Amino acid sequence: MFVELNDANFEAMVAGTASGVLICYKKRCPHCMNMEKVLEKFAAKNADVKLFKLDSEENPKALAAFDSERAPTILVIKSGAVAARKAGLMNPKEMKAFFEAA
Amino acid sequence: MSFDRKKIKNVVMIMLDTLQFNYLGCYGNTTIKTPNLDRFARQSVLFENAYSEGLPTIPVRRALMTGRFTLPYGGWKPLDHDDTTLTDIMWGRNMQTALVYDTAPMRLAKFGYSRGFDYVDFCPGQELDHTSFENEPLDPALKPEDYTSASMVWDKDGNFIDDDSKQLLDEIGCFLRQQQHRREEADCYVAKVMDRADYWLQERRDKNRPFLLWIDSFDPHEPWDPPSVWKGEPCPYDPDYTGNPIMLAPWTPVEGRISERECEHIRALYMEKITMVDRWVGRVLDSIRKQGLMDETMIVVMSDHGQPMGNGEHGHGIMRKSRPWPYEELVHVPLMMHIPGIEGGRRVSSFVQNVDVTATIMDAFGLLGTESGVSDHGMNTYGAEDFQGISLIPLMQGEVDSVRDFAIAGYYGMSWSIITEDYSYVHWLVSEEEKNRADCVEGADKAMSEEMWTCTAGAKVQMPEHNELYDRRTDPFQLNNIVAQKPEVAEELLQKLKLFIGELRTS
Repeated sequence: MFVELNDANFEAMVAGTASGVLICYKKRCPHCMNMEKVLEKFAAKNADVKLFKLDSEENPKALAAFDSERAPTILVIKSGAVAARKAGLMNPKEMKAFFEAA
Repeated sequence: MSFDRKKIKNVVMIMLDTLQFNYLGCYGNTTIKTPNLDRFARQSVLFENAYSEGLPTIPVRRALMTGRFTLPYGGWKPLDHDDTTLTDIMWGRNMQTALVYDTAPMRLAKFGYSRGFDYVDFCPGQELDHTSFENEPLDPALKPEDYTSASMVWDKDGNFIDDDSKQLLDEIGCFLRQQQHRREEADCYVAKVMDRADYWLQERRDKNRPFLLWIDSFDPHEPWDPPSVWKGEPCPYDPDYTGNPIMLAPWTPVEGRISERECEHIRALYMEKITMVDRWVGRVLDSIRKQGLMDETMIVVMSDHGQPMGNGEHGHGIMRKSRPWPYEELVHVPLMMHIPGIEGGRRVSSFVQNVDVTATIMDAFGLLGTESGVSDHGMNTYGAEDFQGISLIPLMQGEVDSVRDFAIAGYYGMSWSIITEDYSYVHWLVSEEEKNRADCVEGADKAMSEEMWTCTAGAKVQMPEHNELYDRRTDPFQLNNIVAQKPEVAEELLQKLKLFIGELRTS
């Protein structure tokens, strides 16, 4: 369900996305695991929204570009650019509101 | 009689505040007499490992009424408009609902815990209701200082030790103002609540309609005023004690303030109060039996929490819930359920949490899978879709052995703990200094920060140095912290705890 981003492809992938959500995660982070489940539920109800994930520790260039030091950081992508950024947990209702407000 | 959901018409919930599980005969206590609850245990399923997740009084009611955990979301606070309660779900269904209670915190202004009940009967004046009777003249023969220990109030020069001295006498005076009219045991709070509940059952309810009756008795919560105190007789569980009865103790640590002998006497008064509560609960249970309701009524008997009651395994050095400490004597609760058609006498060892009680009530009524919506006439209706609990009916029938591998407990914004078969682990959200200073409701004002729900470099969950790990098989009351000997176990449990609470936060 998630397309994995890396330092090499993140710029082009974001630029080519009309509507998407990216989770910047770290391995072994329990909060990231929970937030991925929320995004999967969100995507299931929003078929036109693409899901991306980025391993923050493996991709320092993308980490700096996305300003995503804390994990999870959720970024909303609209019209090929980052439209909103938030670190921490959200429930499905909060995620929906966050996406819509971006 | 075989189990059939359609035969369950009614639910009676009997909440007995501050009833420690191991003070009951049916939970293995051989000193304290609780014959009525023990008899009920033989006719119901007893849960040996029931834990309240969010402490104290108010979060437990919130979890029970909404079917949702509270620990990740909020503590001592009013019911929110967005919360969906049992009675919200009952609206528009053929179900009469009644709440008979004296639990003052539920009645705090704007707290709203009586929301949606068709019939509400509140008895004012119990502990924590410090205002209803404050202007009543007190019988001059009744002096607050006669109902506590002088050495808890005054120093050797006859001065108040501190502000807690005055507060203690004020609290006792307030309680005496209400209870000064007491002439017999039937005037005590648990008697009033149980009698009024029985009145509703026998006289007031529509006997042609199913019902949900919630009886919420603040007893056996302190003040410790069992019958012997009012009769001026020795406490039957401590007949040799010669000092004043100790109706209340100061809101302070035990050390330097309450002697070991006084702690022992307070526990004896608490035991006697439990025996009295047992007597009055027994009257309602007998009434339910006599009215022929047992075969069509689910009955839950439980407590919201236990109570720190002194040193060591009794209370880790505090008396009353004066600190946000989620230890065994507080968070492990008695829970028994009678469901028509399910064989009584069974004892279940699986971990269960208070949200599971709510899910079971909904399951018994066939409402567990219901969704919110709008009626044909344009009115909002509510379902149990946001519930987080697990119905215990399959467990009670022996179809499964376990519904949870672990339980959680704690104080919102202050402490989280995880309890497994092998270990218990306490994670402090506050510093050691705040942990030892804060009272049990201060966490209500805390906001959960972004840091709480995120990881930093290395994605390692940082474990505070003052976190605690205990071997639950050899040290169930958490006296010997082994976190330094087993850091890998502690880290694994903290990871599991954060994963679970985060899962709740996102659902």
